[in-house]
Amino acid sequence: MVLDQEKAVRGPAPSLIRQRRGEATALHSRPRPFERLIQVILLACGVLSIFTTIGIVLVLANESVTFFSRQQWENTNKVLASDITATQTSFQAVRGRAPEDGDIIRVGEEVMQLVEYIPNEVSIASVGTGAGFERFCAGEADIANASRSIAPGEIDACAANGVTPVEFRVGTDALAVVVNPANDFVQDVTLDELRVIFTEAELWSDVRAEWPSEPIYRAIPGEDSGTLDYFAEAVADDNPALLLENARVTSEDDNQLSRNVRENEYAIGFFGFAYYSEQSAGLKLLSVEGISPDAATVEDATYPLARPLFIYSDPDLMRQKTEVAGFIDYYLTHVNEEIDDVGYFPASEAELDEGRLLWLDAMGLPAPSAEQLSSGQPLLPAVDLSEINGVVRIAGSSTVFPLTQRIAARFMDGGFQPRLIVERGIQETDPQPHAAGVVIERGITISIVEFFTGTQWVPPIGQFGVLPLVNATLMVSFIAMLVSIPLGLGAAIYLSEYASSRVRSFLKPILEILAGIPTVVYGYFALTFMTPLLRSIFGIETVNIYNTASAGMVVGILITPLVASMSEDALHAVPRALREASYGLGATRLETTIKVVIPAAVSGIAAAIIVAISRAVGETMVVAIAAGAGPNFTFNPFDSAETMTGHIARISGGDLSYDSIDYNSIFAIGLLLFLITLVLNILSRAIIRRFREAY
Amino acid sequence: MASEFKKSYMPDEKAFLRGLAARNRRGRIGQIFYYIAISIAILALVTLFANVINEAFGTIATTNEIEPETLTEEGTPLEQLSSEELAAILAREAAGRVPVLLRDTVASLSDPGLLLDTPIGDMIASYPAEYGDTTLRQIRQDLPAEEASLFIANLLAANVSQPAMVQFVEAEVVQLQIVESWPLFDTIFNYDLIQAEAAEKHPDAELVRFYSWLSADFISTPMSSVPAQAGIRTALFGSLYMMALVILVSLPIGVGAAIYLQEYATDNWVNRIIETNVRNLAGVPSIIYGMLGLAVLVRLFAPITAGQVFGFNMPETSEARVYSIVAGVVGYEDMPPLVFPILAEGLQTNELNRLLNGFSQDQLEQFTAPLNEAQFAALEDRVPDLDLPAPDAANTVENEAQLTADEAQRLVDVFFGFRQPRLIDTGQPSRETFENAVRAAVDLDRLNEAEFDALVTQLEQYARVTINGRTILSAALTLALLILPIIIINAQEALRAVPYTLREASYGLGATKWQTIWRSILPSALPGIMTGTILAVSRAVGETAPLIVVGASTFILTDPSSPFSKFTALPIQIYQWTARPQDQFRDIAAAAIIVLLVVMLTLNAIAIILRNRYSIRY
Repeated sequence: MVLDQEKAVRGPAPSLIRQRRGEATALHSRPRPFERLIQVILLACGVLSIFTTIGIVLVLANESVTFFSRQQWENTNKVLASDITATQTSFQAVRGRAPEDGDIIRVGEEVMQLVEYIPNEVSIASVGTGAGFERFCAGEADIANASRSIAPGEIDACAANGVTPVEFRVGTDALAVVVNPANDFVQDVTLDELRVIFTEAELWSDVRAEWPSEPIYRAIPGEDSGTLDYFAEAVADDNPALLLENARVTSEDDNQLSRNVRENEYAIGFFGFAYYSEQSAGLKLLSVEGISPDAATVEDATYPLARPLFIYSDPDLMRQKTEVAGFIDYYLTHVNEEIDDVGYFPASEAELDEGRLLWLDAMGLPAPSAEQLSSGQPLLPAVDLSEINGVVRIAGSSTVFPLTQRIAARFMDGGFQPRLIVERGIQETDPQPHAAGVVIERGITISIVEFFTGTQWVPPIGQFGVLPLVNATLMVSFIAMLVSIPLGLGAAIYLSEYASSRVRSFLKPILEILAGIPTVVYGYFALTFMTPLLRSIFGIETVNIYNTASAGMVVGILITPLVASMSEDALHAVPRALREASYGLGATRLETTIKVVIPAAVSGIAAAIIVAISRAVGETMVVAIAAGAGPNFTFNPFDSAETMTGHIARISGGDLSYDSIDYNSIFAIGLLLFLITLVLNILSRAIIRRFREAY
Repeated sequence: MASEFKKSYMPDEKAFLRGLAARNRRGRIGQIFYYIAISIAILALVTLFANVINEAFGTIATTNEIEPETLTEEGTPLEQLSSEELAAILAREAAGRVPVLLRDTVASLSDPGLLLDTPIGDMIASYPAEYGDTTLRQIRQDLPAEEASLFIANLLAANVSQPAMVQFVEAEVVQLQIVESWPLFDTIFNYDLIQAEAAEKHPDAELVRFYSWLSADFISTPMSSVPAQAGIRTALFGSLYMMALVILVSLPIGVGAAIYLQEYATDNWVNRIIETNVRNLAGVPSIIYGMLGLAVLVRLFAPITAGQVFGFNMPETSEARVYSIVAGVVGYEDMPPLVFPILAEGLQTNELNRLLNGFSQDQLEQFTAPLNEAQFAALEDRVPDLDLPAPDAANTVENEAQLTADEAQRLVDVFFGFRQPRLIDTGQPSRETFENAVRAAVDLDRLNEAEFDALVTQLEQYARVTINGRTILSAALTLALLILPIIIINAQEALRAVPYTLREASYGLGATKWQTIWRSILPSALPGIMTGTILAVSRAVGETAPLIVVGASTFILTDPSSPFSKFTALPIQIYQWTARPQDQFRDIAAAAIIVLLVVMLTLNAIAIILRNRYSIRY
């Protein structure tokens, strides 16, 4: 009771006032009918502020979501083989950057979602026959290219891995050595004589004494030719350079070589046997080691300058991977249409048929009857290239490589392409037929991770990393705090602890004026005064016209009144008794200030500083004018760099299209900015509430 | 305990005095630091003002294209010449500009095509009667060129006052130009240097000692791309218009919310949220409000903020659309003759500047892409301040235009000859309007039917009326939302200061709650509320960032006529000018800053007077 009375004397407690107010209303007045309405209207005014916040959050969030889910289109591929029709949902694309399942792509106006991406491919490694077998036996390659038969040791290695090599003959690499028909002294040469003829000998008589003392006119294939390599391997100690040094004529064109031989009586030359078998007129073919090359001796490789070309695969693998079986099928069916262009001697139909039968056997299909064999019908089933999918891995001989490459190119051109299986008409576009050759664009979206970690902000190339902007904002704020904390605190302490009331009444309005000056004026000040000042101090080369240092310092001046007035309030709230106690103990004014007053007001000062940081982060005009236009990830305060606010102002200042990603992007930045300042503001008020020293 | 006592000790007197001296020294150093801090703050303010004043006044060097004394044989000053003499000068010295001046003067036509096709008697009030039934085109065809010019100049003279004619002559013939300017402090302390520099750099220039960029003309003329002729009239009007709207919206709502929070609100969660929310809103950066305004007011509520639902057709926003009309003409793919070089040649430099300034980067690229190198160089010479995107070599169109430069000039005249384009005044213009425009400009024999139709369609398409919510209303509402929390907090403060005894007394007399508030509390709190509101509004007047985001226009020649006009404002203008590289724009920016500061300090002064005069202390 006594306590209650004392309270009543000092003034009623707030809760008591409310209670009494209610009683007073109830007792003394009858509310008029419209008063309820007025109260509702007033409440509506208050609620409007909530709508403002909700509006801000919704707008920023909504546009940010659009920003992060928005498609940008990037050229990735071309539709190649078949047209996309209204009914067909898969089509082939020229290989480009591999898309992923679920990607959004666009062809013309139509947007589609990629249900499945099938990266069909034939990859061929030219590593040499031995290495090819190694990979093949280890299961790293589906097919081995080989320019010799597999060795027993290699078969064992394969068997250890459960791989059974099956050999398919695809052609023969054979050389024809030719001289002029007028040359009647050379009929047959040994391999060693060939080496001498094409390297060290100058005259024919240098090789065999009975031959004429005429210079040898050598016409050989040029250095890019596989034929030269093979000849060097077989005859000249694998040293093509030596051959080239001594040659009279080198050419990649077999016609050139044959003409040279035809026109020079003492000429000798070599080229692919395939070429000779077609263009033998005016040339005289030499036999080597007593064996004259013809279709039979070439094919069974008894002719010393011939080697068989094979591909190998494994029956189990072929049955498992239809693409491998399909490729071999295709190879065996079409190899003779391509082999001439590569310059190899085609395998005979019988030899190929042998391979085809092996294929049928490997696939577990019945062998054809004798009539079928003789009827000339194709033995192998036709391959439907649009039906098979997968990756065919081939490795091995560099000799077989060009042949396999040609077949593979034809195989892929024919329809073994990366396939895009799509769902059509996404994003409310109409499915429509598309012609071949149309560009496929891939939709890319900006991920949140990319947004927060990217160090580049270049919208035209789809780079949306916010770090440069955040970095510039932080730099400006940091510089601003370096300026405003000492200035603001110093001014606040001076006003609160030192200044006489007359000086105070003069200085406070000055601070208020400083606080009331529009920020655009500070921007002008930064650009026309602070920047030239910095440039005259540090040198024009060091300091950019637009720089964060100048902007930061002026922002610091701008927020100094804020720091000063909030800190001064906090200092002022410290009761006089504390100071007097300190003075009474003999402390100087500085000691009192630093050891007594500031600790007592620290929560208010901290809050002031946090509010000031929030203000600096959100400050726009100074940075828009003085800090530079263009995101720049730099830590040099004398460089230009655009802050978040500066960027928003610059982008929205132009003729901004509502449809553009630029428009969406500034809202994403805005959301980040809003959250930063909101957290800072809440923090500052929490500090005041939590740590306030009540006296 | 014992050890603690050992540590603390009272120093003997000698040590104490020594320590005292050191402490006092530290105290003085501290004091010096505080003095320095406050001095720097004051110095910053002084420097800021000095810097602005320094730029706003100074010395200028001027040149005349033609000395006015040489225009008449007697060397009579222009002011003393009669309108007829002035017309003769105009016709002689600026024949090409005379028709344009006439068009500008008679800008009240409903259709640009009419100027050439309508008998001038229908258009112009005073004209020689015998020519009443002819058109300008007819006059140009019938009379020799000089006589036609003189005739049109006389027509002009008959319709404007003599001082206006003097201005025309000064602008078109004399062409006074400021070639360089120097700031005030240099003028005062280094005038000799300025003289030497001026004599060296501009030998024929006249040096004007002390020139004030801030002048009555500066306040009363609209914008211009030439600094010396630019003024802030439209910006000032825009700011005042906005200020009025802001007060109209935010004062009642803010005070209402404050009354609710202070007088009605009990301590429940709704009211706590409102209270917290108001305080948080006060800390949201102003640019965020701009974004709210852009997304909600400018875009979502465009029919309202553009005045469409109220039946407004915003004639002022047509200018922007004319830009796109020309952009459309230029980007016109099927008809290469209408390429930019010709169009650019047909434009006056200031029109060209205006046109290009109004374009986005994309549009600029569209413009410059077809240029060849020589054309691009010529264009850059004409508008040296603009950062034009380089032409795209792949797109260069050879200048084998089917349209003659004359025709292009006419087409441009149709769209640009008027300071206030008239195409859109009556809402969506009819196809006929566009056909007339093309007929007026282009020699029809040169176009076949399909090309003609295509061109008209293209023009029509680009001139489609779009709703543009970037109006004064949007900007004002944005600013109102921005200062609402400040008003609420200030008004709450004022209401809180009204002692409870007043309420008790009112209730005691039997008043209802609302009667108490309305009759007793509000009047006592009013000075405080007004002070707070004025300070908040003065903040709104200086805000720039939200206006940029909401979409302030940068080049407006007409005063705002309704809340649905396009707008610009003082701070926007200051920002625009500051951002330009030329010194003279900095000078006028400084002049505009002085005007802005005067407006704001006036508002602040009113607030302080209100506070001191009417505030009641309890």
